Amino acid sequence: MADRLTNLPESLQLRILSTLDAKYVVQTSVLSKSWFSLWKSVPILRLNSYDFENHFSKFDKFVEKVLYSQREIMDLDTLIYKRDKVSRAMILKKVIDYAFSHNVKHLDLWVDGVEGREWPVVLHGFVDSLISLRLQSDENNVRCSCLGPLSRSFRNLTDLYLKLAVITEQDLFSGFPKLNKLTLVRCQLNTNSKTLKVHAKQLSELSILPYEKDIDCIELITPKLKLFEYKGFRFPKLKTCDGLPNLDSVVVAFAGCSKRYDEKRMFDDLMMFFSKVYSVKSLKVCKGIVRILSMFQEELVSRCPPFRDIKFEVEDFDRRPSESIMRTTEYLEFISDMKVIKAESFKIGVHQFVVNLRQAILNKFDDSQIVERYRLHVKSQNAMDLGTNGGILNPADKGTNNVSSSNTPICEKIYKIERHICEGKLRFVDDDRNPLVPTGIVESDSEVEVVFDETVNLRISTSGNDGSDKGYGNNSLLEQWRDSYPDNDDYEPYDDDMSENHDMSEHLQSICDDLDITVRGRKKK
Amino acid sequence: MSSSSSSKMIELRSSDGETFHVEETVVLQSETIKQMIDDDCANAAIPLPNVTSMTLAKVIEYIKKHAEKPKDDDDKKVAEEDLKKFDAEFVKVDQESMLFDLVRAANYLNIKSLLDLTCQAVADSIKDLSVEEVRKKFNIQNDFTPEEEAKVRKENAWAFD
Repeated sequence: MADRLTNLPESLQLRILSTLDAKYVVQTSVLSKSWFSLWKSVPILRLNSYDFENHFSKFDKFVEKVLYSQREIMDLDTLIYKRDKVSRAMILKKVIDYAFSHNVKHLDLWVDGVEGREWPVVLHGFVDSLISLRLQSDENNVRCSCLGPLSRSFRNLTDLYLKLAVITEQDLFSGFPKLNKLTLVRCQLNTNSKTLKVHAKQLSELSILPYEKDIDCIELITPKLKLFEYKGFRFPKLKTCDGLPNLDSVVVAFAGCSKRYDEKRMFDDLMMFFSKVYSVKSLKVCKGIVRILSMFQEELVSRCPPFRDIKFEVEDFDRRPSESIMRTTEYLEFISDMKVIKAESFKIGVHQFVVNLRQAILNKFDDSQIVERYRLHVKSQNAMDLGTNGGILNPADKGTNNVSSSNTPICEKIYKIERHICEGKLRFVDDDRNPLVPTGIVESDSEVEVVFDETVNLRISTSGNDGSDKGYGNNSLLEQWRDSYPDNDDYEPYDDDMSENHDMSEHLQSICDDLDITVRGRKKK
Repeated sequence: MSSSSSSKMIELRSSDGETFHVEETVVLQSETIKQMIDDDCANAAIPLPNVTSMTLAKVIEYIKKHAEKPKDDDDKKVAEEDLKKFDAEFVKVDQESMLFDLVRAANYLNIKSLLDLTCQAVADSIKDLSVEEVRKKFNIQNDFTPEEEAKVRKENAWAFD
């Protein structure tokens, strides 16, 4: 039998070895003479303490040995360094120097913490090779004060990812000439003001996923920004210089209820936030936000900025910050013209809109195919609390319900189930009872299990395939809504910051115009 | 599907002389064939002297699956999950030789995603084995003398802890 591995062209051998952690790659040197020094040419170096079962002294020794070995092929494509616990600054510095001296393109350092709480990035001259840089700390905040002064040296850096970094400079990002994508996860501001400044001319994607450390204000001078993702416990003030002319989509998620801020404050902040991004084409929000909006229906009518041409989605975000979407049945996706929602929310309120949303989902269950695949078992003492029959909610329950009332038992049930999910009492499992939701959700004693077929995704759209939007009776709604808004004399600007941006009456007209189009039908791609 | 019926068909001939008809849109995932089509060399059957019919059939199964486009955003997430499952099943081949044939074919046809998938599968099969087990599994001839091997092991002892 031929030796298939050794007979592969070297380029393919290197490709295979590139997917392995360095420990296993180095071990191949013992296989045979032709493998003896191949490991020194592998373009991706993955240093991982996990392979040493977290014997850190062994791992640190291994890292030093690898770094001292002369490479056969000088250039390194990617260097990934993962180490649990606090890494010694000295070793990290060596790793970084090694990466830069081997013209690394992608550098990814992932630790629990760094000795001295400072990323030891020091360099002389330019590192033109570097395209992406990830500095991740999982437990301790680590200062990255080196980055600002060095930013101009990273002439080709397009992707920067910082986790638990402490930002000590007022204007950290403006120096990177090509920065295109910036991700800040649980970063802390240690500057005089609580304003996070993102000034980056080429930036097109920005994700800010704070956790505990709040940011009061985000100042964006990012003329090319296309995607803005924000997830936090509250919504900061947005400051922009010339607006965000290229902004396409905004994702806003709300990580959970904060005790420090009441809902009204949340709502106010959210309105401010929306007022700065009203020109976006796609808005994705989590259900928590819909809930906040639904609490202040009347104010929403007067204060929600006139989004135009927007695609609106409600998503259930996973509670773990690293994985953003919960891929289960509970995942709601709502795609529609915002204009339709406007008509809805202006007249009947977002709450009713949410109810309608739920009804539409339930109607979806009547779709025989889905009903067949849909099973919801609720087994627990809480079953009665959920108002289900003997703990099992089966498809037959749903079809027979009259969904025209907003208080149908099914809606109640779904709401309760949702609440249980939020509180961590419910989890999703597949047919083999393996949890579908990542372990971020805490299991409680009174465990309720919901069994969903993984393949079922709930999806609805306000307009049917015929694009007529009949279901919501837009015509009459629209007229009522127009009648109730003859002018905006009684409109009180909520905030200077908000009114500076748009004149309500002008926008009302444009929405009306837009709505006419909507009523005729939704564009299908 | 209306688009598929109007799509141009490309003829591929395996090393053992079997011909396969594949839609042009599907086969464009192969950079190698795309280049041939761009150079106008794809009017007759394209000979693939390095790929057997068994391997080619498998490659076509892969690119066909990966050519399916989700209708809209709604469909996208379902489709992604579906593809992941397909990929996981796809590399579970009965014979190891098939996996290596696929690596070579993916390389020759320059289908990056398939190359990544199959290389990863080979690596996964190596990962948890000792040096002796890897030698045995892949029939690698150990051409070190015992002394030489001991020396190499000693030199690289830090990687065997």
